[in-house]
Amino acid sequence: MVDILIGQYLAGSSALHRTDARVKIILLILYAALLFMIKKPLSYAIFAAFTAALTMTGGIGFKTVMKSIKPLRWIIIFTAAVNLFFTKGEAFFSVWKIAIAAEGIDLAVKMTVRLLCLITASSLLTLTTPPMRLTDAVESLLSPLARLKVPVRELAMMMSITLRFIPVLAEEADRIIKAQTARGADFGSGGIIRRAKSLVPVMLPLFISAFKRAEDLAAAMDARCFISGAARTKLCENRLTPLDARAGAVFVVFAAAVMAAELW
Amino acid sequence: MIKTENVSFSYSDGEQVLKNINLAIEKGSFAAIIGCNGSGKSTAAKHFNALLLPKSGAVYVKGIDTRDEKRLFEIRSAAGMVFQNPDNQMVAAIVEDEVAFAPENLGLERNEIRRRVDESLRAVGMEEYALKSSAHLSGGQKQRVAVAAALAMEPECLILDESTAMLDPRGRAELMKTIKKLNRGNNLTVILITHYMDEAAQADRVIVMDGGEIVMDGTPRAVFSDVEKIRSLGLDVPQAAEIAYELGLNGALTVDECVNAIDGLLGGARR
Repeated sequence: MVDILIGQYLAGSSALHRTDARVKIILLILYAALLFMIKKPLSYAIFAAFTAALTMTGGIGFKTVMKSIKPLRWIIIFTAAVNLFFTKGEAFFSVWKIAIAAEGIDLAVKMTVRLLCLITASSLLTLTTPPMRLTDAVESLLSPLARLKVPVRELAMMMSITLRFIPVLAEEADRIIKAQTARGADFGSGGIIRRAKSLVPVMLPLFISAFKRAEDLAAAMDARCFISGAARTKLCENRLTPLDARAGAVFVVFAAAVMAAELW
Repeated sequence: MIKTENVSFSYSDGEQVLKNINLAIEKGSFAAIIGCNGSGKSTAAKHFNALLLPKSGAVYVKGIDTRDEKRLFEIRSAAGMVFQNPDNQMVAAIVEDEVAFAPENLGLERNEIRRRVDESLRAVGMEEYALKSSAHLSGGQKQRVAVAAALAMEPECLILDESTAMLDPRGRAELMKTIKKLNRGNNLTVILITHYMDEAAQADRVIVMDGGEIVMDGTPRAVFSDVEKIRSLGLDVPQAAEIAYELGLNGALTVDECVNAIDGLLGGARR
């Protein structure tokens, strides 16, 4: 089974689960913005501690977090390596022709912490928010754009259907790969072009099946009175509670601490 | 409940899929439609809730002509439909949201949606799973959720378009039990399109289609007693009826009847 964490909601009742999805999205954006402005090591330490505390509040295990980091490990390693080798500065030490600058080490560590924090925080959002609430929140946040004739409702619907079908299609791809492997197809070896070519017999049936599924889903939606562009009501409206105010307050304290560390 | 008058239909490639179908489904009845692939049974079903419109003739649902676009919501909520593939017909990842989809489309108030979701899930015995992700359900459970999702429109008729085809025997039995309970207990009209003869035998009425036409229509007993004709259409009869037929005992439909008939035969031989 292909392990995909996107849209894999873990049911729970922690404060993090109960916070309004819109508040979580806005705070995540502010969090990311702040994360890319900081420079001092102390700020990074505060960020890492805050992220760890959030993870614990949400009752999310270390293993689950690792699962969402794992698919991105090459990007993290690559980014760290680029910063490590290509940052110019006073050579800290050099082996053969490769010189590593102190600034390079500093930057590589910071970038790694940054990416780890960002991945963890964003997967916390999807792990503690049911997909439907998430798309409702996006719809609600983008609703001012509806005045500019942006089809916000349809976009939100598309997003939730995408989230719903990612695991289905991942499973399907897995099944096709196994079926092809059973008939002697070789996916693991050869150069990059050969490997890309060997994926054609996987993508083709996958696309055909995706279209078939789309057709079925469209009929099922029609049969249940879905009309594109028509006004719909909602079973659960996102509603702000005192908890959301507290979530905001916690974030403000955290942001103030980071600022203080920066200006010290 | 549903009435068709001289309905004919062809897809754009010109081949005629339905020829002059005249059919009346009574309220509260349980009708099964059987037939080979390409016999037009699914196409006919899609006419019952205005997913397809007849090329000629007319279809009436609760007396409303399905071509009346202004009353589309009324037609579709009167005739709910459950499809074949449990994964492909789910819009939402969480069971409760899936069931809420139709009432949300109908623009109902939140309290009303809540009531319908709870009632529909209870009707199919899936209320414990309301907040679960549908990915972790079995095939039979997914189809029961799909039934609940249709029930949330409070339909008078439920159309199951080969909804048992992709299920394992246990899932099939689960779904059949649910459907029969809804038919008997809630007086819901059921139209079951199926490939399984033992399912069709549980209905009040069996309609056999072949080449876009209705070729047989009657009680399961009447239809399945004509074993020769059913076989000539490329279909099977339920297993009990088949054993009885091969033994030269006509008229047995259920396992019990078959056992009794065989018992009678053996008793006769002993005498």
